[in-house]
Amino acid sequence: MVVMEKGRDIAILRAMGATREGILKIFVIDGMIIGVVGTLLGSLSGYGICYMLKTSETIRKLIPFDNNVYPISEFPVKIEPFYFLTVAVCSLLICFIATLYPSFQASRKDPIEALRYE
Amino acid sequence: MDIRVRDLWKVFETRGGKVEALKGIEIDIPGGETLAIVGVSGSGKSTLLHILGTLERPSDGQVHYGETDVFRQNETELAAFRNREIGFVFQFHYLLPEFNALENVMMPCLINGIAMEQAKDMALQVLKRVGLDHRLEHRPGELSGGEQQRVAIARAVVLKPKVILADEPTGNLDLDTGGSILDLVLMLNDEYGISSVMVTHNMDIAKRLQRRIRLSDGKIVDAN
Repeated sequence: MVVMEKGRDIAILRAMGATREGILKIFVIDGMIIGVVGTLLGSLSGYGICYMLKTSETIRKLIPFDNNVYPISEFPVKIEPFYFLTVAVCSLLICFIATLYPSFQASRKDPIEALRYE
Repeated sequence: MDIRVRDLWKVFETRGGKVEALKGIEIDIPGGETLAIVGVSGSGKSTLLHILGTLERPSDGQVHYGETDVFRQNETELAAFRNREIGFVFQFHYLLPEFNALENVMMPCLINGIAMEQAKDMALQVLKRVGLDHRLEHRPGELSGGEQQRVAIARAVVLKPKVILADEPTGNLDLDTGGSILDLVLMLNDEYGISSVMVTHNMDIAKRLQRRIRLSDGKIVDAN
């Protein structure tokens, strides 16, 4: 989406002397900033929810378990830093891979096309 | 720095066949000269400007800036050349909307690798010169059309390039504002010794420049 919206800005940056590699870097960094912020927010809110489930019986009771179906009566919670770290690293890796193709496309955009038609 | 254009051709491949946009253009632009390129729509004016600005490669022919045959350079060298030696001004200001006036003018300096503080000083100086030191923190959307174009001109000259290439820089402005923008370009041309090549439909503007060439169907049909 960002790459599609920014065609004209990419053209202007190219006219000012930005290289294709420079444009690629801008979009990868932009994508990674979004990825890092999202991962941090996700990890924090995930930790918060787990912590509340672990410490508050009232909240645990909000998730009812039918004892006829499940062998447990409450939602089991175990906070493991290793899992948080693994999920965060995977999320960042997915973000990085997801930024590559649109960033590459942005760097290949023809500035003349954008200047003519936008 | 003199600019020499020799036997310049540009051919576009389209679904309907080949379109010859430029047919053997030859121009000499001495350093510091102001040149108007006039002609009807589709005559090849903008294509010529884009090739002079190294945004587009010609199908054939050479463009020399001083002793440098610019299209012998690879893409990265061309980008660096464009950053150092060429300033663009377009019909629409094309400022980056998320950045304020000062940051927009700093942009070519940052691309050049100049440190942030020095870039800020350079941008500040040139914005003062174009009379916009009271609008530094304003984003493009908070500026008038004339002010936006002044910022665009400041951005074009902040690195003191050898040439300003302007594509209808007054085309989107009223007569008075357009006149003041032209005054500004001519003043900077005089002060910094920057050559100016301006594409325009407006003969009144063209007459204020030192020389005019008229393009028709991709060829120069008149030069004076």
